[in-house]
Amino acid sequence: MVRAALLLSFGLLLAAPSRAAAPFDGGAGALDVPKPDLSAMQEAAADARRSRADLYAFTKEEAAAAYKKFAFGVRAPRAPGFTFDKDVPADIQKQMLADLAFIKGLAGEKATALHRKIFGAVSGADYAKFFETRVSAIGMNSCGGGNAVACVIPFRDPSKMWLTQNFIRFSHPQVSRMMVVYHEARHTETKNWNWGHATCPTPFRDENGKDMKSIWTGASLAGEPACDETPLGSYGSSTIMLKNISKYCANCTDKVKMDAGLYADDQMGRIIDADAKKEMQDDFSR
Amino acid sequence: MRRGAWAAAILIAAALLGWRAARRSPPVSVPGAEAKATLALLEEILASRDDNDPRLDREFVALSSEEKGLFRAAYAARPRERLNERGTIVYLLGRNLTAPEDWAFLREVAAEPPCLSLADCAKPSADAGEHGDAVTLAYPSLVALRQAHRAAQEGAPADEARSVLEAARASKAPAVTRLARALAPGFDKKAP
Repeated sequence: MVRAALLLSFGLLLAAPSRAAAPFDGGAGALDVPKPDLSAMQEAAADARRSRADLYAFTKEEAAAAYKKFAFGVRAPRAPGFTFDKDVPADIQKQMLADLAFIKGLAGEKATALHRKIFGAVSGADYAKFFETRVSAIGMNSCGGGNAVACVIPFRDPSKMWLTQNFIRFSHPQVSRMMVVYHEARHTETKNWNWGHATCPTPFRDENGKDMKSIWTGASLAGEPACDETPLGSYGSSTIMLKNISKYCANCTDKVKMDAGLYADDQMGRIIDADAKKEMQDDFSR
Repeated sequence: MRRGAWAAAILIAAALLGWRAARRSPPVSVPGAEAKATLALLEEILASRDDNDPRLDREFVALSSEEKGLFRAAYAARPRERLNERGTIVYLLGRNLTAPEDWAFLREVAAEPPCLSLADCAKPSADAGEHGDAVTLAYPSLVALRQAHRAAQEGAPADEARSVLEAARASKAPAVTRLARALAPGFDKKAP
């Protein structure tokens, strides 16, 4: 964990183009990065702060650094669309394309106001546009190892999404794979400082008074950057997307709608600001 | 002497009838062609990993007891780590709750011990993962509870539905107990 944090800080300090890597939302563990400069790492360690419980996140300073580094890219819009790196296995490409085709095929009767603000209609065309204007390339990475499925490494390339072998290795409901992909796609937004996560409150308890913990490490999420204070961040936007699919998708199977509801309710637990939560609940109930 | 001959004749006749009956109808454990075709369709959809296959809604309605038996066997035969596939089978069986054994199956699934990691349900993973993994790990149990809740809302026997809720409440998986708490009020009243 410490080693990974040092690697991340090293990457930030040097801001080395295309070489330094920081898992944006991946798991703990070793990253696919070049050997770091130890002295720089030690210098950076004092300020390094990474989640010990669930997912990595970045600080406001890191988001600012990414903005500065990729300012040119922010100002210069590119044509929508993405490419796969050559090393992305054919079966992973096939699954990703099948999942995106599933999303592109969706049609909804209507959409909530927050959904319209972020994505547009509950429509495959709008979901595709959202993804393809944010993600320009898809590559392979360990994303910190463990059970991670996808990540974005903003200091390496803020518009590139990385997938892991777990994308096809594990048996996820299809909508949950897309939840992760769209959560990560939101994190590519350099102009919005990548929608950095908020620090979960201490104590951090669910609606039943139970401590919120990482399902994997068992560590409390209290004090960790694994929450959102706005409906517009990565947790909020993916919750809104799922909730709208659950409520309004006209050509989804009943299973997809049920799955979307299950995952949306789970993600809602990461919204910690009372006003943001109320705004979302009101949005869903209208 | 005559009585013994009669008894022997009756025994022989019974054995003969039994043998002929056995030849005429296959053993119960051998599935019929229709049930096998339904299972093959399920396997085809599961292999496609396409949760939005419209046949999931269109087919698999009013499953026969033979088909349900095959689906339960398919569930049991799958590694626990095939969470979406197992959950899909639970989902389909949860739409066909007509017999006590259907409810017993949902109860068993709702009460399953937690899956400890996506790679191996028997071994915990110390590595971090994705948000939403708590739902994925408990997916079959969550689906069982959801389907029992839906059935309760649609007027299914309240005691059967509540037995699934109670099984979920006793689960060791936090995601399952959390959903059980959220859905509990809905088990007492039907949807308007």
